Amino acid sequence: MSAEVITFSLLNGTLYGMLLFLLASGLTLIFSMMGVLNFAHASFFMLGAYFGYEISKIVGFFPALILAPVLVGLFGALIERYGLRRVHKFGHLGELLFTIGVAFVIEEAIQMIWGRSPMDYQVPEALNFTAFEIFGTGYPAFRLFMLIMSVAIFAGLALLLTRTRVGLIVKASLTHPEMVSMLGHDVPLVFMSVFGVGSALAGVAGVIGGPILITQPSMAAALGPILFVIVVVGGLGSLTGAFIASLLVGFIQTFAVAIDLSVADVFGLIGITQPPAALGALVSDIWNVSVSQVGPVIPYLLLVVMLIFRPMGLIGKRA
Amino acid sequence: MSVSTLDTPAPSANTRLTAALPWVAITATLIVLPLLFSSNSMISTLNYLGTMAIFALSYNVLLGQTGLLSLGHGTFFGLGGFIATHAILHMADAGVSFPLPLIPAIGGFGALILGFFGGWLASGRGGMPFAMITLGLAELVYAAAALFPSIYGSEEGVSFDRMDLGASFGMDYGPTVDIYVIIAVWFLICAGVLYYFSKTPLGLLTNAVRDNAERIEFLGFSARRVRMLAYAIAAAVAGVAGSLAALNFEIMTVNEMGATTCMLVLLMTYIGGTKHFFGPVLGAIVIGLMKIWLSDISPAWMMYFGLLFIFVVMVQPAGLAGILMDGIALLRSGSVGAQAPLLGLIGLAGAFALTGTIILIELAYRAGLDATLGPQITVLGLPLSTASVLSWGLGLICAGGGVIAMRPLFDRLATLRHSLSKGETA
Amino acid sequence: MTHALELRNLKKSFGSVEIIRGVNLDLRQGERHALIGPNGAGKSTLFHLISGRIAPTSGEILFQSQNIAGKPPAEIVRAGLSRSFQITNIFPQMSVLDNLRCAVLWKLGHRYSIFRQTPTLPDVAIECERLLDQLGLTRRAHDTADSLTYPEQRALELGLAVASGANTLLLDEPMAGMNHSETEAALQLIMKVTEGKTLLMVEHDMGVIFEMADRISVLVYGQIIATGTPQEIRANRAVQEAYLGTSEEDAA
Repeated sequence: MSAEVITFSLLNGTLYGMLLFLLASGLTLIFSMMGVLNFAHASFFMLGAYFGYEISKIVGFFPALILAPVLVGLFGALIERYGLRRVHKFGHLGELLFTIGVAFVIEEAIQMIWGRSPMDYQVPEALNFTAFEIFGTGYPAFRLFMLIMSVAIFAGLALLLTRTRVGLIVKASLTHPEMVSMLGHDVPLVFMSVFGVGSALAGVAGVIGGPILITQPSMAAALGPILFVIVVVGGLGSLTGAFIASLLVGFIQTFAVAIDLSVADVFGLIGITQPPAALGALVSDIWNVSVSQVGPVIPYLLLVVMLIFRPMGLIGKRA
Repeated sequence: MSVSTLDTPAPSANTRLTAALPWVAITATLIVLPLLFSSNSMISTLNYLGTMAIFALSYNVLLGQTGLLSLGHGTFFGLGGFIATHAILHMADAGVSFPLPLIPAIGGFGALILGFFGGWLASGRGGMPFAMITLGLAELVYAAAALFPSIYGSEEGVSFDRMDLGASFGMDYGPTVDIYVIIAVWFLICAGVLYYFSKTPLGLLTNAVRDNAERIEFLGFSARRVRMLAYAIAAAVAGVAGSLAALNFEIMTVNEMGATTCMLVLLMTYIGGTKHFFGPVLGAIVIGLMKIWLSDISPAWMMYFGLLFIFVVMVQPAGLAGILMDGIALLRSGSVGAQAPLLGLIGLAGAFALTGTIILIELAYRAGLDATLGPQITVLGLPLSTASVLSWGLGLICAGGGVIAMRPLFDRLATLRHSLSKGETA
Repeated sequence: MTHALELRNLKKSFGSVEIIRGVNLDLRQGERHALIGPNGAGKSTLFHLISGRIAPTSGEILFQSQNIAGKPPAEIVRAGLSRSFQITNIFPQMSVLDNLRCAVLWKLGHRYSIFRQTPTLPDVAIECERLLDQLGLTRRAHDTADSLTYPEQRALELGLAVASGANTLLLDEPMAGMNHSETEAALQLIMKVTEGKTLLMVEHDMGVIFEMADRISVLVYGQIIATGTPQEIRANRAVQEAYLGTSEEDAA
């Protein structure tokens, strides 16, 4: 593998990882605060992409970058207020089922409004240039912008949680909701806000991720399971763990795509060019598998390996 | 599991008879059905429903009995189907004579073994982690399947001819009705085994894990072990269902074990009702029929599924079976007459809400996805247009009015339901 | 005299905070031993350590001369040491009878069996009938556990601990939240169902403790400051200073 491929894979891996973390952070925040696994989180991401597409057609990309996440956040808050809070009495299972239903309906609604084919959501003109060149290949400015946005939001979130009174209340509500409510804070409001902000973060990820990943009705279903892998691998409820796991998955997937190598190539190095026919069709399947084909499998494999050797996740307490 | 109508404490000759009654009724129904609906397509539908009913019953071992929400149960349906498919292909190749009706046993056994392994991985914790892990495992199998075209086939799947194993039990398995016989018998076997299972010590322990997984550890048991065993048993029965689906369609594709199947079984089981043994069967029938018939008449059928599911989650967690049981309790109490106005009003409000929702959804689909078909559309016999404010207004008023009227009525209904359950226990 | 249970220099820290700071305690075979101490002394933590809910930082827990420190709860129960909980911890959606059935399955050797139906097992039926009768819950056998009154739920909670067949029982505030007459009834019940067993009990009701306990240990700030008969404890100056002086009003 050349230095060029490595550099670009590192850049893209960080980018994809940070995008994943934008989503995983909201999911983790909601999970650790309300005990709810928001199955619809990736659907909010998808809504962000579609809203971003639609709004940027009218007022341009940068206003859409603000407006679309606000809309998604409001929508999330409404879902919490009028849906999730009502099923709270049926326990976490009821809440999870509810968000599954919401994810289902959002996907259908998006197909209903925008159709089944991908949207023509393009990189905005203002950012459609080459930011810098290394090894003679240009790196698009939009990608750089995505990277800066993700890092900025990550930093902002970290500051908010560790340095402000709001962060203090949020963190206290995680562990001692009754006490926080006794101190005069409106815990349901805090919950609704956290859910709204988490959804809005997913919305941001959607707006900036939409032009790069394809904006289509299946994008939520494609990304959702990866998010759950990240949250489990990172250690349920741990933001740091989610951060590490996001980058890990980001790197794994970008590097896997970049490596053009198959089992046959490896054996080719030692002079074997044909699979032993006696071993049958299964071996010839494996023979032809390339690393880039294995790419989508690796996150889930990581999950299984993690479950066997470290069930509490990278950063996580034993339940 | 609390199966209120079947769970009789002291087994005397009389109560045994009452306990056997539902089984006799089911067997009779299974015999009569193909005589009533003898067309090939109807038998085909029945086959599909039977397979789904078995699948949903197996899922309820996890969801209703053990309180575990699996998001990857379709994996075992698919794996069972592929195991059965390859068993048939290989035995036909080798010229081994093996009766086709016993093939699901192979699929089920294979799924059982895989279920033990999956259960070992997934059952460390219940609740949310379990849901996430099962989802991850399902995605792993699904994604990995693409790497092994010799097992899972490529896009078009793996097909076979079910007649290749030859005739047995006096059937040659060409006609669909032969497969009906196999599915009906397997349905009775699976339902019987699972019902028996729910009454065994392990079945009791699964309920205990659902109610309070921690306490069971302080009674000498391992909650993990109970979850794992329940997972494996559910997997085995799902494998049987998958094998039957393979026999029915003579083809297995990777999509059969994808996210859609995992979600479908959750929807069927939960909508049917997880608190009653036969709830999932009811769900499988209703959702199965909706899937077959609704998809013909409306592009929005998936949306209706989703909304029905949310409705059940929010308003009626006992599912359709719960409604049925409440209805039976009301009939028994003899106060149907007195409650008729309330029930009538609820029915009326419900009809309004439903009509409004249907109008809105159909209009929305016509305005969006199917805009090329023009603005004119007939919904429930009403000539509507996506360009007309009147059409949208009608939908909004019906839906909004129905929902608003429903809320106080539901409060009354809750009170009634409460007094009924009180009256029964007293 | 053999000890049913022995704690040797048991310690537990949460982060940098040491909650149990070297507890030494022995339980004689067949005695009723009460553990008292002010709120936050670590009584519940100590119970969690012994019953395996949490693992100690250091030290030994010898149950019938075998170290059970850090073992999972299920193994400790199988060895013959079971517990009840301060906050009712039963199977709410199951019937009272099914609650008890779960509790007796292990000791009767049925374990995870799938070959017989539970209602048809004669030994389970007999044992559950006996327990229901003892607990006074026969009439409620087929009602779900969450429909029971509070004292009935407490009785079931106690029943689950007893039903597992253990010879040593840890009871965590079995009278918590009961009024005077309910407490009296609960005391009679405990005396009846724990006949011949070794008992370690946390309780705040001083009347109950001095009436029933053979010996009392006082836990203050994670350490046992005194162990002795009720008379000895009553007379102990350190105990009076540390505990009884301030807490008798609370207990009343």
